[in-house]
This record gives sequence, structure tokens and C-alpha cells, in this order.
Amino acid sequence: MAGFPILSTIIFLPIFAVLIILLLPKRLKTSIKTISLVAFLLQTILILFIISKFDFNLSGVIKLEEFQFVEKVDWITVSNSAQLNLNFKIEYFLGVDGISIVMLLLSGIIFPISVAASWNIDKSPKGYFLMLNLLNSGVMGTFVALDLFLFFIFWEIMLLPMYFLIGLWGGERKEYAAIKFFLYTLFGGILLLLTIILLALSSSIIADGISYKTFNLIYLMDQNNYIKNGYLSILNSNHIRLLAFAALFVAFAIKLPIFPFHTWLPDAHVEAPTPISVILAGILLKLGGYGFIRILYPLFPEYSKEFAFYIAMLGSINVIYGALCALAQTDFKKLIAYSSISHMGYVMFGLASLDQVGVLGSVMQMFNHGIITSMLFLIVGIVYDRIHTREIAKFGGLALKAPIYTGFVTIAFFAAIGLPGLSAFISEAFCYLGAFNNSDTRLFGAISLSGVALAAGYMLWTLQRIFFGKLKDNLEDFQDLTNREIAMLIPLSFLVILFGIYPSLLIQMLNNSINFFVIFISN
Amino acid sequence: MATINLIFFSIPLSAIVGFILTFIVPKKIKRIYFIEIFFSLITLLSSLYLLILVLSKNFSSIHFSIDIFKLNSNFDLIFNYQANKTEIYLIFLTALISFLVRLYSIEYLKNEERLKNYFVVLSLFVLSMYGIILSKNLFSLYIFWELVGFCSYYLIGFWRHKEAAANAAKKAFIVNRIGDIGFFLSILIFASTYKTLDLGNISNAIGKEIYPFSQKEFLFIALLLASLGAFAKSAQMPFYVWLPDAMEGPTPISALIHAATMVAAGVILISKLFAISTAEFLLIVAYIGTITALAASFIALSQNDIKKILAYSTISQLGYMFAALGFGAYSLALGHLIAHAFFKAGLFLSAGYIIHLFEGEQNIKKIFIDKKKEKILFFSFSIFSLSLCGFPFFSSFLTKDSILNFSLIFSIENNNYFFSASLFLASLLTSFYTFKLFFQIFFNKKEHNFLNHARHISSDNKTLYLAPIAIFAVLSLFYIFSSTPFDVNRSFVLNDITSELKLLAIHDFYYRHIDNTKGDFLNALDLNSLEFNQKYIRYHLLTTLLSLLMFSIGIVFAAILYIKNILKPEKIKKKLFFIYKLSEKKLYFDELYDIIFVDLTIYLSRFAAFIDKNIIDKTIEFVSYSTKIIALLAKYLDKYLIDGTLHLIAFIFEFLGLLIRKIQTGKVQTYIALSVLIMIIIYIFITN
Amino acid sequence: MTSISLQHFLILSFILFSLGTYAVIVRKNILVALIGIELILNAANLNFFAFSKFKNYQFGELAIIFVIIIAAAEAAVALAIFINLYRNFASINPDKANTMKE
Repeated sequence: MAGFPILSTIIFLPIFAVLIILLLPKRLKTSIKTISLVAFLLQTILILFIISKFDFNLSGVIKLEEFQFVEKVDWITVSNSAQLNLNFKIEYFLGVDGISIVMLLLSGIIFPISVAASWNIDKSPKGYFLMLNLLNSGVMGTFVALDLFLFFIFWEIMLLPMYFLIGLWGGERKEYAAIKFFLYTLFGGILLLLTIILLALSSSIIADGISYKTFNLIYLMDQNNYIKNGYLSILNSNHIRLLAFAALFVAFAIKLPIFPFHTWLPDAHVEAPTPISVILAGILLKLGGYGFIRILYPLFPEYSKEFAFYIAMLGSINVIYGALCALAQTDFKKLIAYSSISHMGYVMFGLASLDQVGVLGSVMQMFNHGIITSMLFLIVGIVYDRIHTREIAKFGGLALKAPIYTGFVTIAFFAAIGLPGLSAFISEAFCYLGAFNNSDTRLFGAISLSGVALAAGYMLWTLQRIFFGKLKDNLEDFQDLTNREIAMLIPLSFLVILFGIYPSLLIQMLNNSINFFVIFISN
Repeated sequence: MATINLIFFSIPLSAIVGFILTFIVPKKIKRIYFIEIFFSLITLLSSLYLLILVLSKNFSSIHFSIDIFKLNSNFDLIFNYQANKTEIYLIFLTALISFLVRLYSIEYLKNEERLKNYFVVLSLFVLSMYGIILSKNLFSLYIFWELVGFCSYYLIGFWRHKEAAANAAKKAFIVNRIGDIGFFLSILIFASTYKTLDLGNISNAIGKEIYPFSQKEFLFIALLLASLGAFAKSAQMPFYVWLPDAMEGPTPISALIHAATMVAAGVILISKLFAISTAEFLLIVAYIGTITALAASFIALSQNDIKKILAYSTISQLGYMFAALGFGAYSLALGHLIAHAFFKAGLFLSAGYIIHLFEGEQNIKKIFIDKKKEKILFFSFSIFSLSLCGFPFFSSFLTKDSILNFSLIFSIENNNYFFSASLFLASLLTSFYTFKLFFQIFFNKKEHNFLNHARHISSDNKTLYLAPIAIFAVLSLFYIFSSTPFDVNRSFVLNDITSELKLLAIHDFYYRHIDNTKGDFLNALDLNSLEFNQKYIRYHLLTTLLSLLMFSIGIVFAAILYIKNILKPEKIKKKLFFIYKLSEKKLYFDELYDIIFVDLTIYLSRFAAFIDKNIIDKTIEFVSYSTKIIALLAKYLDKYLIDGTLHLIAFIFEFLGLLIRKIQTGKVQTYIALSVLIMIIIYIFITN
Repeated sequence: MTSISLQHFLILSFILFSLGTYAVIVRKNILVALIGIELILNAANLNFFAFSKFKNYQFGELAIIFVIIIAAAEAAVALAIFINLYRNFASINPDKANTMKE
């Protein structure tokens, strides 16, 4: 098994599925769906296999030798351009450590569920599943790529399918939402590209006696690999390094999303079809957080420490502002979208605390929130499938007609509120604990606590408006959950409860990596 | 040794197993509750055994810990649990009351479709209650704290098709959440300072004078924040608004959660923090407790719904417990908690029975029960009422009387008579509303005929109703506390609890004189001193006489108004209209909160949404709009300038062509002329 | 009285030539144009004769014969064209035949 490129298999399995689907005629809808489902489930199995073989004692974060399942191949090498001094080396470099593995696990869980949620797409399912597979590939690739060029490629691969998926299979204002999402994220991508290029230009590694510029992330984390007085050398006292930090920060802030770069999210989430909302909220938002941890913080540790105060401030603004906006919404899906913004704020200030418990909480929050918010969007989708409206005012008393559904909704809503015993409590608590340990972020940890009451407010209010009280007239024939829907919600509920009661499963995976990360950044 | 551990662990284990089994077993199985009854019986018997051990002085503490996180960092998050004698008493209390309530619920809810859910959440509640009692680690406490909040939410809103119930549940959870913010904030403060949340370690550190952020004031702040959680959970001022609304839930739930156990959790929290409390903090607790005791009994005066009266009575008695803690009477507070739990649960169960008899009618103005027909109910109810008022020979006399005594001494020492005056006044009001309730139900024959339609329940059903009530009545008599009805010092329960205090490694801030220069409120009482004991005995007789006086005034007034109709209540109402309104409208707190919290929050949220949609989003749209404008400019530039140049060139050529075309006239003679001309020109050129 | 020299002949032939050119280009009667053409040809003839006489140009007389023959043939063809022209355009004004105008 040594050397079997398992990560590449995971990434390219959907591409393989794409090829098969391309060849199939349009009318074989069930086969297309089954092939996608099989491909995604295979991915999940491979990911679980990786986890079982993973050595959690290795931390990884900047140490090349401690990454696991590494595949490192020279991909594009330009040498002998001695005139311009522009030799560079782009590698096909994949590898996982504790943090990536958790993200992979999340993707592995959410994607098959999204296929189950997409089962009833009737408008050109072939195109839909093509896009979905492409998206999957991009996501998996982004989480394991360790060469910045490769990272960027996978980052951009995710954009285009999302555009089509929202723009063609979405709701009323789908074109507006799709274009807004695409341009906004593309803008972030451009900032990302700029910074990547700057980084590469300032780097210098020696191989075979020739000095190359490299895109390899691990090498770039080591300050010895920079040209003295290059653009981004840490010794360079001009402001380019600060600008690069800001640019990269904005690029990932758009994805996370951080106030005030968040306005694409409500539109994109609301107009996207249910399974796409699930993927968008469950996985794509985490890319922002992952980008922070994997790329921004290790490359610019001094600024990360310096600006911790402001980052935490933005995080707590997210929490409170998102909760307030959610409270004012009349559209169920938009409410959930804003609650997503609110929960991602925890990731921010947990990370800013640069405390072991805080960063642990931040990564756990990414994972837990992914599962919980997927549940929430599935729940909205169920209602929308039946009544074709998302206006909360039109609902009432659904508990009488659909008790099983209400049960799942209760679990999801209380998980979002942060009830102990369900996964999000531990991650949020750790974020707070971490934020409080660091004197920069202490104030914002305290302020964000009010978000806890606000979350209870809007969630319970919504729960009551939609499910309790008298049944509204137009809801007489509201069906309870179908088997497919139950099959989607049960694994998610199970995971929410499992990680709520026994969080050390997650903590074991992350502990060493995060320990090392914190020590490195606080160097 | 091993048997004790086995028996002890059977308590949480059977609670967990009962919960899981009831959850898993499908709904269709009839009598699904038997699982729960079985396991709670096991719990009851185990706790009874442990209690006997305690009573026979054969008990030693049990400790265990769970490392649920396995964090390998310097932050210690191992959950420690300990069971000392106090905890055994409280566990027994919870086990007994929950068992009896479960039995009662079988009958009360026998036609309920969602009975399984009820029992599942009920067992989760009891499990979490054990967690709160046993927790020595603040984080673990917080987890179970929130869980009981959730169970309370679910059970209050159990009949979820009722709008009022859903609202009440939401209100309860949110008010509790707000208190929990304070609690969690204090956890954060402790965690960041001491790197541990274990109360034992924290008290050791405080003993070494390590304060949060190196300032004693922050210890006070942290304690105050934690107490916010306690006040919210125990419905003290100003958080009490959720408890009266919580009466929308089924009555057995009101008995279990909102009388005996969950609302007592606040008292339990403060008692756990007692070891690290400062004098200023305990003063605040005393104030809140006293104010609550008075205000709640004031509101209860004007209420006419059985359950609401009992709810306010609960709030008031909890106020007594907090006041006791504030005065430093740790064991009295917990003792009163135990006594109160029994008679209040009994009262609620009786209320449930009465409501059942009258098919849902809860207004005491419309209820009358013939005492000859319902003898057990009558006797039990009278026992409960007398116990509630603190009448001698009943259980709470020992505790309540002592609390009043303490308050008197405290007031005299600190020259602030607010505490004793309020508490004595509260006891007067307590006896008034208690006997208003009692007389209205049993002595005030109503004119209207419908009161005689009390349902005739067949006798076998009655057992499940009346047996728990009777058992609680038996437990409301004095001997559960002490072998003599009058001497609190001989109370085995209280002595056991007091002895724990030494185990808690008290850091006697409270016992030192703090800041003598400030004088007044901070005069401490050295509870161990001979001087104190003398004072105690000296004032004891005075206290007892005073409290009996209050009692008599109250009962006489109630009798006047409600038995023989000597004075019509309506006339009094008119005279004291303003006061009456104040009492009836619950001191206008609900309206106040509506404006401050609900309206403000909704306003803020609409404002935030407005900003989001119209300012931030509009900024993005402005960016895109201006990009469109620029693109339009570029388009025009392209169309008119660049393309235009092309067209200009084309036009020139066209013009030239047009011109040149004119030569082709079609006339031969022109062509000839032209050719001649050109020949001449060529000739000239050639020859030149 | 000067003797008649070559110059006189050339000037005469030039005058005849220009008169003939005038007739071809300006006159609005195709028959007059034909006369003009004859004039031009005869002017050329005169020129040839003058040079043959004064400069011993042997070919000159021969050329005259050629030109006269060709003039005759060409006049015949021209008249045939003019008759066709008259049939198509009903006029002997060459300006009327301008259908090849651009």
C-alpha cells in the first residue's frame, strides 16, 4: 500500500464519474444519480480508511515530514531562463495532517447526503450531476493541496460549477444570486492569486544547483527560503508584506464570510437549490476558515498576532450582527443563512485567540457547524418541497401533522442554539474559553456571549412560529418525512449527538496539529 | 467498600439506562413507562440505602471523575464528581419526588398520545439533575444546567398545540439563557485565571489569594455573574417572569421541576460557590432573596389561579433560601430546600388532582371541594398549608423559623432592618395567601351550582393520585428533620449539612471583618463563636413569637375574607385598588421586559437587517452599478471613437469613390475628350 | 512672298486636326462627329504628304493610301453603328446614349 496515491484517488474519483456520466445518454437519470452516489460513497470510505491509518501523534502543520499520505511530484518546472532569473517549480503536492483530515471527513459526510437530497432534481439531471462531481473534485483538492498553485487551481475549479448550479437550478432570483456569488468569490480569488504570485516571486529554493522560485506552501512557511529583500521577506520593511496579508485576509474573509464581505451569502443560499445550499454552507464556508489556518496564519504569523484584536472584533460582529439579522427575517432560508454567518463568527475569534483551546474550538466549530447547518438547510428544503414557500408567516402548527419532522428539527435547532450534549456546544465553549485566555480577544469573547441569547431567541421563535400552536389552513395535507429524507437526517443527527457526548473523537484528531500550530504561531 | 460504590453508581447508571431504553423502545408498546418506573425504583432504593448509611453515620464521601475531553494541554477539563452527605440528601430528594411524580403522571396523562416523549424527557431531566447535584466541576455543572433548561422547555411546552404553552416554554428558555450568559461568563473568568474549573482547586487557589486578574473585585464580579444564572434558574427578581407562565405545562411537571428540583438548582449552585464567596457577594444574594420573598408573596395575594398562587409561593420560598445563604446560614438554606420540596410537590400534585376533578378549571373562585368527600386530600392539603406557613410541628418550621432568626440577628448586627422586616412581612403575606387558597377551596361554598359537578373518579384511579400526595404529606412533618420539633440544633439533617462546610475548605471571608472603616453592612457574623450562639438563643423566642403573630394575622384575615364573607373581598379590592393592581399585574415586570428586551431586540434586529440590505448590500450593488457605468462608457468609447475612426476612413474612401465615379458619364464624347487630354499630358511628361 | 514650307503644311494640318477634334468632342451630332473623324484622318494625311514631299519620306504616300482605305472602311462601320444607335436611342445626339453611365 505504500505509495498508493490515495489522496489523488479521492480527488479524481468524481472526475472519473464525470467522464462516465458524459457518455451516458440523458434519459438514464437513475444511473447518473447512482454513479454519483457510488463515487461519493467510495470517497467517504477512502477517507474513513485514511483516518483509520492516520497517525495522530504527528502534527504536520509546517513540518514536511509529518504530513501523511503525501504525494509530491514535480509538475511544472521551468529552468534555464537565466536571463530573467525566473526559474520556478510547481509541484503536484498533496498531503494531510490533523486539520485537513477533519475537513475531509466533513466533506465525505456531506457530499453523499447532498446526492441523496438531489435525488428529485428533474431539470436536466445529467448537467447537474456533472457540475456536482466537478465541485466535489475541487473541494477535495483544496483541502489536501499543499502547493499554492495547485491550491489555487482547485479553488477556482469550485467556482464555475457553483455558478451553474445556482444559476440554472436555483430559485427566483437565481441569475442575480449566481452572478453575485461568482464575481464576489472571483474577486477574492484574484487577491489570492496576486498574493500567491508575490509569495512565489520572493521565494528561492536550491535544487540541483539552480535556484528556483517555488509555490510549495511548506517551503514558503520557512523564512529561510525567501530572497533577502524580496517582496515578502520578513526582513523587508516596506509595506508590501502588510498589503499581502490584507489581500489574503480579504480573499478568505469573503469565503468565511466575514462582515462586511458577507452579503453574497444570503442571496446565494436562498436562491440555491437545497442540496447546493447544504454544500455551500456545510463545506464551502469552511474553506475560508481552512484558508486562514493553513495559509494565512503560518505565512504571516507576526501580523496574525498583531491583529488578533481586530480579527476577534470582526468575529464577534459576525456573531451578533448575524443573529440580529436572522431575528428580523421572514424567509426561513434566509434566517438559516444569517445564522450560518453568526456561527462562523465563532471560528474567527476562536482562531484569533491563538490559544490551544480556542483554535481547537475553532476547527471543531467548523466541523460541527458544517453538520448542523446541513441539517438546517435540509429541513428548510423539506418544507419548501412540500409547500413551495419559505415565508415563515405561512406556517404554523406543523408539529401536529409531522411529529417525526418536528423531532429532527428540534435536534437541529437546539444544536444551533448550542445546547450541551449536542456537538456545537463544545466547540463554541472552547472558542470562548480560548478567546478569554488571550488578553487581546477577551473583550470580544465576552461580548459575543450575548449572541447566545439571541440565537436562542430567533431559533425558538422560529420553532414556535412554524411548528407549535394551531395548524394553519393551507397545511392540511402536509406529509411527514419520506424514507429518503429520514435517511438523510438520521446520520447527521447521530453525528451531532455523538460529537456532543463524546467530543474527544474529534479532539484526538486535532490535538497535536493544533498544539504545534499554536506554538509555531506564537513563536 | 465495593458494595457502596456499586450501589452509588447504580443511581446514575440506571438513570442513563432508563433514559436510553425509553428512548429506543418504539412508541407503540403499551405501558412503556414501566421501564422508567423500574429504573427509577432502583434509583430510589439505592439512594435510600445511601441515606440510611448517612443517617447511621456510616457514610464516607464518594468521588469519581470522567475525562471526557482528553485535552493534553495545561487546561484541566476533567469532570470530577463527588457525593458527600449533602449530595446524598439531595439525591434522595430528587429520586423520591421524581418516582412519585412518575407514578402520578401515569394516571394524570393516561390519555396522552405522546406519553413516551414525556417520560423520555422526564428521565433526561432527572439524570441531569443528578449531574448538577454531583458535579464538582463548573463546566460539567453548566452542561447539566443547560440540559435541565432544555427539558424544562420541552415539558412546559409539552402540549405544543397550545399557543400559550409554546410561548411560555420559549420565555422560560430565553430568560434562563440570559442568566446562563452570566454563568458562562463567570466560568470563562475562572477558567482563564485558574486554568481549571474544578471547585476544589479553585477554592484552594483563592485560599492562596490568587484572584482573577489579580484583583479581588473580579472575584466578586465572577461570583455575581454566576449568581445571575442561579437567579434566572430559580426565578428570583428580576428574572422571575418565566415561572408563573411555566404553569402551562402539565401539573406533575410543575411539581417536579418547578417546585422541587430545577428551581432549586440555583440554590444548589450558590451553595457550591459558598466556599469561595465574599461578603459583598453574599450581601447581594441576601438582598435579592429578601426582595424576591417579599415581592412574590405580594403578587400572590391577588392571584386566583391555583397554580399561579403556588408558583409565586415557590418563588417566595426560594427567596427565603437565597436570603438564608446570604446571611451565611448554609445548612438552613439547603434544609429549607428539602422541606419545601416535599410540601410544594405535594401542593402541586393536590392542585393537579383538584384541576382534574373540575375538568381543567383552575380558578379558585369557582372551585369548592366538600371536605367530607375528599378526606385524604383535605388532610394533606392542610398539612401542606401549615408547613408552608412555617407552623410548629411541621417540617419547615425548623428551617423557616431559623432563617427568620438569622435575619433578625443579621439585621441587628448590621443595623439594617430591611431584611428582617421584609421576611417577617413576607411570612405574614404567605400565611394570608396560603389560607386564602385553602379556605377558598374547602370552606367557601360557592353560590353557583356548577361547583358541585366535581367528577366522580373511580376509586382505583384515585390511588395513583392520592398516594403520592399522602406520602408527601407525611414527609412534611417535623420528624424528617429532627427528633424534636423545636430544636434546630438537634436536626440531624442540618448538622450533617453543616459538617460539610468544613470539608469545603471555607475561606472565611465572611467570617473576617472586612473593611471596618466602612461599617454598616459588612459586619460579619462569626457563626462558630459562642457569642453568636448566645445571640441566637436570645432572639429565638422573639422570632418564634413574632412569626406566630404573623401567621395568626394572616390566617385571621384570610378567614375573615374568605370563610364567612364577613368582609367582602371586593370592597377591600376597591379600597386598595392601586396596590391590588400592582400585585395583580405582577409588578408590571412583564410589560417592562416586553419593552426593554423584546421590543428593543426586535428593533435592533430590524435595524441590522436594514443595514445589511440597504447599506452593505447596496454598497456592493453600487460597486457593480458603477462597474456597469464604466463598462457602458467603454462601450461608447469603443463604438464611437475606435469604431468611428474606422467608419471615418471608410467614408472618406466612399466619398472619393463617388467623386471619381462622376467621370463615367456614359457619353462617348467625354471619354474621347478625356483620352485626348491624357494623351497630351503623357506626351508632355515624356518629352520632359 | 515666302515659299510654302513645311511649317505651313503642319500648321494647316494642325488646324484641321483641332477642328476635327472639336467636332468629335463638342458637337452634338454624331454625323458631324463622323465628319470630324474624317477631318482628323485627313489632317493626318496632309501631315504625311507634307513630310513625304519635303523630307523625302517614302513611306508617306503609302501611308496615305492605307489611311484612306481604312477611313473608308471605318466610315462604313461607323455609319452602321450610327444606324443601330439611332434605332435604339431615337436620336443622333451622342449624349442620349448614356446608359453605361456609372
